[in-house]
Amino acid sequence: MTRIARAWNQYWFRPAPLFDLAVARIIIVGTQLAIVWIAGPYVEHAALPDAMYDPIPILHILVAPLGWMFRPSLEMTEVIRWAVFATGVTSIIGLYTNFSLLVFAWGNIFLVAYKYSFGDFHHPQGLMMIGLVMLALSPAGRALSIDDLRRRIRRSSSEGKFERYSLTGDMGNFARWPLLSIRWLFAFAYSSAAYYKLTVGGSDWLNGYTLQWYILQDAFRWDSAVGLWLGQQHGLSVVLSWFSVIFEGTFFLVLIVPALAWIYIPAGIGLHTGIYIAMRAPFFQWIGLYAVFVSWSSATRRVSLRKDGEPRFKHLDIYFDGLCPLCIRSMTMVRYADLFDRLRFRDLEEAESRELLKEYPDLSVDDLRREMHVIAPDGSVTRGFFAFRTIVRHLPTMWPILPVFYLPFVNRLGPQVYQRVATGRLRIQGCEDGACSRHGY
Amino acid sequence: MIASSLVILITLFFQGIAAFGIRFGPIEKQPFLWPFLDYPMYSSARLEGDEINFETLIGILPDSTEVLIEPDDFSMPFFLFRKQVLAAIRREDRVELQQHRAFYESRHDRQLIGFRLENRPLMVTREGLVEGPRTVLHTISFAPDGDLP
Repeated sequence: MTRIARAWNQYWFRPAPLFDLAVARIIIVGTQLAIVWIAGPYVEHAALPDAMYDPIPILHILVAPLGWMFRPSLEMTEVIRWAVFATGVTSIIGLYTNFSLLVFAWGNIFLVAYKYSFGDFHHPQGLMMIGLVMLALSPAGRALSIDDLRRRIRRSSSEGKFERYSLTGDMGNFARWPLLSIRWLFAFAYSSAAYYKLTVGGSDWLNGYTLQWYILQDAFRWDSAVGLWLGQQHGLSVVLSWFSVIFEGTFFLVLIVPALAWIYIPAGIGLHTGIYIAMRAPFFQWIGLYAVFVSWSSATRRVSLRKDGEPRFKHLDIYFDGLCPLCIRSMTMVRYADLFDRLRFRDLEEAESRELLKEYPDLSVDDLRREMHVIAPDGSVTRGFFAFRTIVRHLPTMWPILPVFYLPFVNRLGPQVYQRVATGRLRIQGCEDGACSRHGY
Repeated sequence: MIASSLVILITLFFQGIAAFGIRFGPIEKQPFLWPFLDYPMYSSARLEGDEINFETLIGILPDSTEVLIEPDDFSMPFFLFRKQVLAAIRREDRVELQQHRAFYESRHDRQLIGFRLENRPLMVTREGLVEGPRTVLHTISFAPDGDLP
């Protein structure tokens, strides 16, 4: 029994990168959020007569406090839809992540169950709903989240020191099971599809006419030109029939040999995209859920490092005042945006940093303490506001705000704001650590 | 770990029985276990010459004019239209059809005296698509004498 328990724990709960779970959270929630946004309000369903309303079991449970057969009004579905938007956004940015994810999952389940309570249900949403619940019960907000950033800022503030940390390196015992569970759900779903094709359709399912028939039926219904063409290509339909059954019937192998994801995931994206183009059957949720098969931490490291372990990109050196609480907080935040390790943080209180500065005789330690300095790989030096702009330019995660730094008035306004904050920072933060007197401000 | 293990076991149990169509007691019919589902769509085989049925709903006006009726006319998505309106015509459920008729009439400001459900099939052959014979599947009359013009 102990051996089984140990094997179980080793399989589901061995330490795994929290970063992978966090990226999966962002992609999965983002996918579902886009789908809810595109679907729009439930006006059509609200207009249907009560006689058509027959709640599916899970909706009975969700509305039970309001009555077993309670039918939500359009206003109620709208309130829930907007709550889903709000918590979708907070789930993506990782603000109160678990609570946000719980509300997001609950709201989505409610809305989809409501939609399916008029006698018509579809398959793409099922796995997504289960996946969202799994994320809500996991430490999905322990990386790449405002929650995590706040935790790091609190820690560095209380320690009074900026600790360099790795964004991709943090491990958690509970980071693996949600990703693995969703992979298992995929294996069940695809096996189910192959099982029914082979038991209901038998070998005739592979004759090409079957696929032609289904493609043409949907192509005519949804007016798909690609489907109309594809549905008349018999030889190609035979090939695609075999591909579909082999793909679905062997997908579970990814659970045994994870490296096969490199074949199955691109194939699956191709399959579902092709099905959408030809038959308009939208399985975008599944494409979003494929995020659980990717080792995002390894992929990120692969972008940052060459095969020989050397950095792929030249570094920017940031010199900052290591005894200034505001600077420590700022560096903690900047580090959070540095996914690909482009920055090297040089604390002026460290001997190594001062040693490196000897290569730049024009720069004095006092100048560097007065405002942040960035030294680019080509040796050019930027200060204060312009140093910050250089950082933003080199970090892809910050590019969305880059245009702001190049607005016409920002060149004049930016340095003024920076100077005001920089000169006021010790007064704002207090001088408990003695940094004020040592800096002479 | 115990709580997480329970979540894993319960999830895989329900997805497992749903996926392979294991049915017992109240979970006989989909989507009883939703979001846990099986995936039997598109599983029946088709042979050369099998017809693709295209059901078309025709509305009949008092002056015998015929109008094509689409899901949009009932503010319904296609699948709901098929499962509600077309299914009611097949069942000849006049009570439900009267509701749909009333909805149509109020929306379009014109009277309907009947519905006719037709099939206009196509056949898949190795050479391409061939039109099949048009057939009338059901006729529903709301006219007082029960006969459509």
